[in-house]
Order: sequence, then structure tokens, then C-alpha cells
Amino acid sequence: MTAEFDAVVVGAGHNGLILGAYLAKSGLSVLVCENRWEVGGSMDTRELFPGFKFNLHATYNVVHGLNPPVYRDLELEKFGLRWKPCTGWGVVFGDNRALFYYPELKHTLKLVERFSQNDARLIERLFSKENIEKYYQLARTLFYTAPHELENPASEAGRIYKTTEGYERFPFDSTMMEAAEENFESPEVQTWLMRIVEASMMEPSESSAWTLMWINSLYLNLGIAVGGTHSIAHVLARVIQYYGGMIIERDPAVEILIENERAVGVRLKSGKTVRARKLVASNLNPSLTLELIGEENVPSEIVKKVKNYRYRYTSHGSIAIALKRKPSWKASEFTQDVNSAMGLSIGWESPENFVRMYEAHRKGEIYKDDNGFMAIEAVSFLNEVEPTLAPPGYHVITPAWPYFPNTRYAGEKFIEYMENNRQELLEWAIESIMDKMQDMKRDDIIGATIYLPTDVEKKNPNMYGGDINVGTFEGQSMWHRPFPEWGKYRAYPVENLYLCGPSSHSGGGIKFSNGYLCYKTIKHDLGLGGV
Amino acid sequence: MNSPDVIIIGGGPNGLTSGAYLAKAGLDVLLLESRHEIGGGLAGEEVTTTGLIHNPHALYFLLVDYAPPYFDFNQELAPFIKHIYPEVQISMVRSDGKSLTLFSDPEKTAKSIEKFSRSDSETYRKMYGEYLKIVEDIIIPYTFAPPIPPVEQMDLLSKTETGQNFTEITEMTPREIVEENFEDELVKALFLYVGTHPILRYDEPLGYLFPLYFIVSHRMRIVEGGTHRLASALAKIIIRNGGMIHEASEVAEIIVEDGVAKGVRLKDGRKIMAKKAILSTVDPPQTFLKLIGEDKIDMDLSNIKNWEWEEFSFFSVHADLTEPPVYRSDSSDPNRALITLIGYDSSEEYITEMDAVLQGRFPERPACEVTCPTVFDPTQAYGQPGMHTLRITSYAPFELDGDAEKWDTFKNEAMDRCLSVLKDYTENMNQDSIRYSYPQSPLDIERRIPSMVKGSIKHGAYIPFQMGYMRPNTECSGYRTPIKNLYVGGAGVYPGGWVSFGPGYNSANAILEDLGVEKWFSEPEFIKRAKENGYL
Ligand SMILES: Cc1cc2nc3c(=O)[nH]c(=O)nc-3n(C[C@H](O)[C@H](O)[C@H](O)COP(=O)(O)OP(=O)(O)OC[C@H]3O[C@@H](n4cnc5c(N)ncnc54)[C@H](O)[C@@H]3O)c2cc1C
Ligand SMILES: Cc1cc2nc3c(=O)[nH]c(=O)nc-3n(C[C@H](O)[C@H](O)[C@H](O)COP(=O)(O)OP(=O)(O)OC[C@H]3O[C@@H](n4cnc5c(N)ncnc54)[C@H](O)[C@@H]3O)c2cc1C
Repeated sequence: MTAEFDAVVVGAGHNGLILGAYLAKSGLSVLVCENRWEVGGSMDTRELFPGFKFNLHATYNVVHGLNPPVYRDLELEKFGLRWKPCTGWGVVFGDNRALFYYPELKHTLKLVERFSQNDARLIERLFSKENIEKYYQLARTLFYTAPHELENPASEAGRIYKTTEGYERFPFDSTMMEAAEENFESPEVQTWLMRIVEASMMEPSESSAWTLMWINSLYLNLGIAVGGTHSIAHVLARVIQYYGGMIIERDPAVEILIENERAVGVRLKSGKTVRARKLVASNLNPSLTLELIGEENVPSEIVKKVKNYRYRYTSHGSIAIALKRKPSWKASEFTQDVNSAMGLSIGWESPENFVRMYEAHRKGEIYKDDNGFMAIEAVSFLNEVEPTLAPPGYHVITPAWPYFPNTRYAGEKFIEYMENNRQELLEWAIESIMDKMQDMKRDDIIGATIYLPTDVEKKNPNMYGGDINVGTFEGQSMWHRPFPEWGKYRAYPVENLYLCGPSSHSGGGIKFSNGYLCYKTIKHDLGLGGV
Repeated sequence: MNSPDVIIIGGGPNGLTSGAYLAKAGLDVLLLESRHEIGGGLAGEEVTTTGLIHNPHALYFLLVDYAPPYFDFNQELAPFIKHIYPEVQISMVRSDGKSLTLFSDPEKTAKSIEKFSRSDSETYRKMYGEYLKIVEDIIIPYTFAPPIPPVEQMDLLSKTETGQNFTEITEMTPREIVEENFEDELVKALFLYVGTHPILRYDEPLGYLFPLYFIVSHRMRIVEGGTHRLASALAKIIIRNGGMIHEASEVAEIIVEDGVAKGVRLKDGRKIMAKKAILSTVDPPQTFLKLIGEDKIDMDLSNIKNWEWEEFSFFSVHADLTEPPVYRSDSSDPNRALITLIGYDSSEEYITEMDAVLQGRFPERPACEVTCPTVFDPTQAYGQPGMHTLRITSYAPFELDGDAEKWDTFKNEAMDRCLSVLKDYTENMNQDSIRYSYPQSPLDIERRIPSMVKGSIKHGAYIPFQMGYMRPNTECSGYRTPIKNLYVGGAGVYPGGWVSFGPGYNSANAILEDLGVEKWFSEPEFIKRAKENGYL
């Protein structure tokens, strides 16, 4: 059986859906094929315990403050997408003090003052209205400018950066870690700022110092999707369908058809052949994409580059806990407001911890904090912000992402260890969380479960070894992501084959970016009228 | 936001069906669902470990051969929906290993019954023929048309022999029908299950449901890829035809002004007006008492105020298996049955079980209905190829000794009881083969779907006062209400619960007729025939 479309997109993750929606809206006939039974990839909200919903994977939209062009172009609000502002985001330290963002800067500064007056003054200067506007402008340049629009967005972003006040403190040739340590005196403030570097899936030792402040500024304006992150997937899927596109779930692509070095369609697992008149796009990582193309269809140096593509040494799991009662953070003795803050990470005392964590992950080991507890990212009682996630009167802990090493790099033995110790790992995570709570009792827990990085990959093979960024940024960023020949959303030398996934610029995350940039590239190449 | 023509409250099978019909008729539809995901009873969830789809609510579909949406949306559904029709529909394993099997093919079933009783086998053959006629001539047309007042209906039925046969059993209980017709204990137990498993008391005088359940027990399908596919496919029809669906949008109020339904207010404060109609598919007490309010409606509300929830519900276990169950049985039928029944050898034992449940207890050794969909559809284990998903359901009270909250602490014990029955009846179910198990209590059903109050999977008990022309009451069973522009069409409305699509289909018809919008679909053949035969 053969069907024909203008465009076929492989993978209905965040980016595949965005690309599909733009193409459908610009009048192309579009098919998006997806391996899972539901669209969304890592935009996954599950009702694991009846009435209790969990964002197992992505939760925080870090580009919300940028008002991404996708919002407007695709009229996401009309299709039902609503956002809640996020309160908080920060760190609860081992001594049960806490440092996090408030929705208002002046409150944040007050909290910073309790750690260091000097640091508060510096942050106030760096986060002035004017600076933030510029940071956002540079972030937009990085996330929403297509290759043909700007040969080197990084240098344009750098140019903007140089007009910000205090920029000289963060030289291009030093690392974020150095910049944090040199500019801020309180180790807690350093840790809090560095946390976000880590959350942005960059490594402290490699990335350039100038990123530190503008990346942090994005966390002043996080968005949380109403109804759970999966609703973003629903809405994008509906845009596609509304404009006549077709999404077919549980029928993955098993081959991208190549004729005369040109992508002409895909073969699906069900045996159907789908011809693509104009283009095929892949939401998948380079290795999976190459598997679909077939090594024989690209030059050997490309095969080599695909094989050399590197993933992060860090992976994530996910904890979901349903609660009868909401406990109070021990840190509420330090500041009451911690109880309404979201995204509080535990396991960090100083920037040095990050270095230790990455070292452990490189060795394929699980990182423990100074007291032997698990380091967990972004522990949140998210129903405080988004009440639809729990039945009235009840609570959820979601998200809560423990850090693990990349399971593929750590090896079979490690994978086996994890699979055989699910319950123990869950217990460890629960204890690590309970240690930070004042009055959390076992009896309060109605249900709890753990998702390991192996589960992340089982669900979504894109996330090699559980790497949620689907490739490190180190040496693999901007138009060099995944590597220069494939770096501008086109899969050289195969014509009409595009790449829209997290292994292209701007990497992983719910950034409304890669799929959009891939679309702009296609639009440019095909001369589409467009959205 | 622009006001849509029609607002639909609730995205279960009925809301989605109605929405699809209305959107395709050119109306601008907005469907509001309180959960994060549409589907209601058409749910799928990876509740155990990743990569294994479990079906916490509807699993097998009874009316695939008849329900109009399957035909009217044939083209739209075809790319997404494939049904699997297991040849062995239900197999019952006796504690001594003998098995009795209901096949899709009545001849084969008769042969299986013959092993237990020649006379029962003969009776079964006769019943099948008679019931098939009743179902196809009468019950199916009645399911997909508005209800008829009882007196009028009696009159229509009295005119034919099939009608008279049907009337004869109307007021019998499932137990009476079974006792009257069959002699072997296991055969009786099987047909008592058949006649009651959609949550019906064995002593409820609703005999007219029996032929339907009897016949469709030969016709059960599952949806390849899991139940939720169906919700997803219906939603696509709505969107494709210009409609919108908003999740996480709980309706808190239906705005009624001067006796006209104008719009809705959501729990989060949004207010959305509807130009032409509002359809509620949530349970009747919620619709009339909570969303509208007594003072806003001029109608006898006694049926709604005294609405009875179902007296019992389902307790389920979802398990991940390394291999499908192999039953200790003289035949391999139970291993390849869609539904395998274990835990009782006679109708008396079945009744004792149900009595315990009716008294608020969960039996020590529950009667279990076991399904392992991956035997037929390995794709439901998409992320862990080779693994299997198992579901056990047992009847269970909503309140355990008067307290529903007790389920939160008791459900692991209840799960162990079910698993222990399973282990006893199988050769290979043990700690190694059962990798993970997950309980779902009746309280959990209500927590997941707020319109399944007290675990009422049909939005309200099947008792004579809440059936037919009286579901939910005489004023509203025809989908229209005394409030202008307000319609009802969920499982709490005629013809009732399970995934019949009846309330959704019929309410869409009523709305299109009232709005004078031309129907894009034609009247089903069986309706035409029923009209010719004088049943409608
Ligand atoms: C635990 C965790 C927490 C996270 N937290 C955040 C956060 O708070 N904020 C944030 O911005 N980001 C977060 N992320 C990262 C973010 O979710 C991902 O980086 C992003 O979703 C990946 O990009 P994508 O959506 O384009 O691709 P993916 O989500 O990887 O989608 C790829 C899709 O392709 C499908 N597929 C695979 N193979 C095939 C095939 N052969 N044919 C067809 N389809 C196929 C997959 O099933 C999947 O649906 C988190 C991720 C995880 C796992
Ligand atoms: C354990 C179990 C097993 C079952 N097995 C089967 C089976 O195998 N086969 C079968 O055919 N049937 C089965 N059923 C029954 C079937 O699922 C239901 O009868 C059917 O789903 C009813 O359909 P509905 O559309 O009327 O209502 P529902 O499916 O209940 O949908 C109503 C929807 O409305 C939403 N809602 C509620 N209140 C509001 C509000 N205020 N605002 C907005 N939305 C709201 C709900 O969240 C829900 O999505 C089973 C049910 C259960 C619980």
C-alpha cells in the first residue's frame, strides 16, 4: 500500500510536531509518523495513580519569557494551550537554607541578601530591566534565527551581549564555573546560578562564561503548561490535524527511502510505503536517522561522524509521588516562601559538587551528595501551581528528576544493576526527599514510583542512554550540531532530507526552537509561501 | 475566544462521538474535558513500567458489528483503528481443570457446552437463534434511536412473535433466565456471568438486556494498540472538521438565562458562550444539580435527586508478565481466550461472591475475569517487546465495610488475593513471571473519572427506574431537556453505559434535527428495517 504526501516527518516529539504544524499550516500535505501510541515524545503527562498526574519528563518551559514566534504563528492559545507562571526554581542546601527565584526580582534579591549583600547588588545590576531585555533579545537571536538568516548567530548574540551592563565580568574565554566563582562570593549563590547551567544541559567546565547570566535570566519567567506538559503535544498535534495533516501513531518509520541521493519517502513498520513529494524530516538523533537512511546511502565520513556523535554523560530518571498531605520543607524555617516555590533541587552545596557529579557520571557511577543522599533536580509540588494535577486536597511530587550516569556509557552491568534495584533506588530517592522535609511521613504516601533512564530510553529511543539533551553541547552546538555537514537542519548529502530534532541546534528542551528553525530552512529552500 | 456553535462537556466515548457527528455536519464544536487527556472510559495508561500499555477502563468492545459510528466514520477511522476479533471469546476454567468455552462461532460453542450437557447445548443453539433475531431486529435499533414510552413500546412489540418473545423475558432476572434454561452448573455460571458482568445484579428484573449481552459476548473485539486509540481517532475527526478540544477544562457551571442554556463557566474562571447548543455527557446529578442548579430548572428532579449509583464496581489488577498465563486445564482454549474466567465452579458460587460484594466485602478468593491483550496484540508492549500485559477484574464494593478510603490501604491485599487465584489456576504465574503489578480500586475509578461516581462505570445503576425511557428521567431521556439548547448524552442517559456510542449518536441526531442541520450520514439499515417491521 502506498500513500503520498508533500512532507513526511519522522517522530512526533516537540520538534517534529512543531515542524509538522508549520508545514500543514503553510498548505503542504503532511504525515507525521510516531513510534509510540501517543504523540509528544518527552512531553509526557501520566496519571500513574488515579487522579494524580505526573510530568514524568519535561515540565519547565524556559523560553516562555521570550514569547517564542511559534506561540503566535500557530495560534497555540486558540487551540487550547494555557500557561501558568512558575514560582521559585532554585536550590535547597544541605543545611536547609534555600535560594530560589521569586516571580519578582526584588523578592529574589532580598533572599540573596541573606547570603551575600554584595552578590545581591551584583545580581540587581545584571538583572536590570535593560539587561534582561537584551538577554532576551540575544536568546531570541540564538533560538529563533535560521541559518540562512544569519551566518553566525553566536557572534550576533555576543555583540548584543557586549552592550549589556557588566558583561566584561564574564569573558568569553573563561568558563561559567570560573565566572560564578570569581564574581560571586557566596558559595550558595554560585551554586544556585550554576544549577541553571546544569539544567540547561551544559557542563560547567566547558561552556563559556558569558552564557551564565543570560541563561539565568530565562528562569525568571518559566512557564508551566496547564493540564501537564503533554497538553503542549495535544495542541501541536491538533494544529496539524486542523490544517489537514495526518498523524499516525504506533507506526514508526523503519526506512527513509532514498532514490538518486534524494529522500523520497519512508517505509513504516506496518509495511506501508509513504512517498514524500517534497521532503522527509527526522526528529531523531543522528544514529537513529542514519539507521533509517542506511549507511550505504551516505559517504563514509558521514557515517564516521554519526558514530562519533557524543551524548551527555548525565542522564535523568523521574520520581512520582502521590501524597495525602503536603509536607513542609525544613527550609521553611529559613524562609516560609520555600513551600510555594517550585523546582527546588537537592544535593548541591557548592559548584564543586557539579564537577564531582560529572566525574562520577563519566565513570558510570551514581553521584551522592555530601551526606550520601541522592541528588534530585527540581523537586516540586506542582499541583500548587497547576491544581488539575491532583485531586482536591491531595498533592503530587512532580517533577523530581534524579541524576544518573548515561546508562549506555555506563554499560550493561550498570543497566542490570539499575533494573534489579528499582525499589532500592526509589527508597533512596524518597529518603533523600524526606530528609529535606519537616514532617513527611510514610503514611502520607499513597503511591510512589521511579522511572529510570533506561525507561526514558525504552519509551523514547531518541534519548540515548537517557540523555535528555540527545547529545552534549560540547563541540556540538549551533550550526555544528550534530556535526557541521548536518548542522543546518539538512542531512548532507541526501537531498530533501531535513533534521529537526534535539540533536540539531538548539538542542534538547521544550524551546519551540529546532522544529521552527528547520521549518524556516525548508521554507527558504522550497520557497514556500508559508505562515 | 470566538463562541462555538456547540459546547460538549466531557470527552468520553459519548462526548467524542457526538462531537465527531456534529463537527462533520459543519457545526463549530468545542469539547471540554476535565482531565488532562480525552477518552473517559477509553483510556490507556502506562501505569506499570514504561513501554507497556494498560487499559484501565474499557478493554473489549461489544458493538463493533452494529454501532453506526463504525460505519459512518469508516474512512476516517480506517487508518487508525484495527479491531482484533479473538476466536475464543470467553473460556471458563473449573477448579478441576475442565474448561467451557464460548467461541465467536456459536457452533463451536455449542460443541463445548455439549461436553457438559447435551440438553444445554441444544438450549444454547435455540437461544442463540432466537436472541440473534431479537438483538438485530429490536435491541440494536432501539439502542440507536430515542427511547419510546413503555406503553407504546409494549404495544409495538406485541405485534410480532419476536417482539412477544422479547417481552416475555423483559421482567425476568438474569438468574431466572439462566435457571430456567440450563441444567449444568458450569454452563449456568458462564451464562450468569455473561448476563451480569456489565455490573448488573443477578436478581435485577432487567431481562431484556440478557439477549444483548448473550449475543455480543460472541462479538467482542479489542482495539489494536490499546483502547485509547479509539479516543484518539474520534478526536481527530473533530479537529479535522474544524472543531476544538480543550483538556484540563473542568466545567463548573452551565450558564442558564431565562430558561436557555447560554454557555459554561469553567473551574479556572473562564467563561465560554455557545451559539447554538450545549451537550452534557457527564452524569445526571452532576449535570442538573451541580452544573445547573435546582433553581434554574423547571422540572421534576426526583429521579435525579434520588439517583442511584451502581451498587458495586470493579477492582482491577494490571500486571506485567514475562509470558502469558498457561492455565491448568484440559484444553488450550483458556490460554487463547479474550476473557478467561476463574475462581468459581457454579452459579451458586458466583452468586455467593456477588452477595459478599453487595454486602461491602471483598471476597477472600475473588471470582476473576482475566485478560491478556498482548496475546492478540503484541504492539501493546511496544517498549518491551516480548512482555505481556495482564488485567484481572473482580467485582468489588465501592465502600469497604462502609468506608471507601479503606481501599487505599487495602488494595494491595486485594491485589494479592486476585493474584493468588491466578497462580492457583495457572502453571506458570509466579514471582518470576509477574514482574510488576498495580492495583486499581473502585475509589481509583472515581478519582480518575469524576463522572463515574462511587465507581459507577455506567454513570448510574441499572435498575428499572433508571432504565429506558426513564434514564435519566422521562423529560430528558430523549436527549432534550426543559432548558432550551441544553442536551444530555452520556452513559447516564438512554440507552446507558458501556461503550455503546448510543447516547453520543442519539444526542447528535437530536441536536442536528433541532438545529435544522442536514445530516451527512444516512439512517442505518437496521433502523429502516425496524421501521418497516413496526418496531419504531
Ligand atoms: C526526565 C526529563 C526531564 C526533562 N525536563 C525538561 C524541562 O523541564 N524543560 C525542558 O525544556 N526540557 C526538559 N526535558 C527535555 C526535553 O523533554 C527533550 O529534550 C525534548 O523533548 C526532546 O526533543 P523532541 O521533543 O524534539 O524529541 P523527542 O521528545 O525525543 O521525540 C522524539 C519522538 O520520536 C519518536 N520516535 C522514535 N523513533 C521513531 C521512529 N523510528 N519513527 C517514528 N517515531 C519515532 C519517539 O517516540 C518520540 O515521540 C526533559 C527530559 C526528560 C527525559
Ligand atoms: C474498570 C472499567 C472497565 C470497563 N470495561 C469496559 C469494557 O470492557 N467495555 C466497555 O464497553 N465498557 C467498559 N467500561 C465502561 C465504559 O468505560 C463506560 O461506561 C463509558 O466510558 C461511558 O462513556 P461516557 O462517554 O458516557 O462517559 P465517560 O467515559 O465517563 O466520560 C465522561 C467524561 O467527562 C469528563 N468529565 C466529568 N466531569 C466533567 C466536567 N465537570 N467538565 C468536563 N468534563 C468532565 C470525564 O473526565 C470523562 O472523560 C468499563 C469501565 C470501567 C471503569
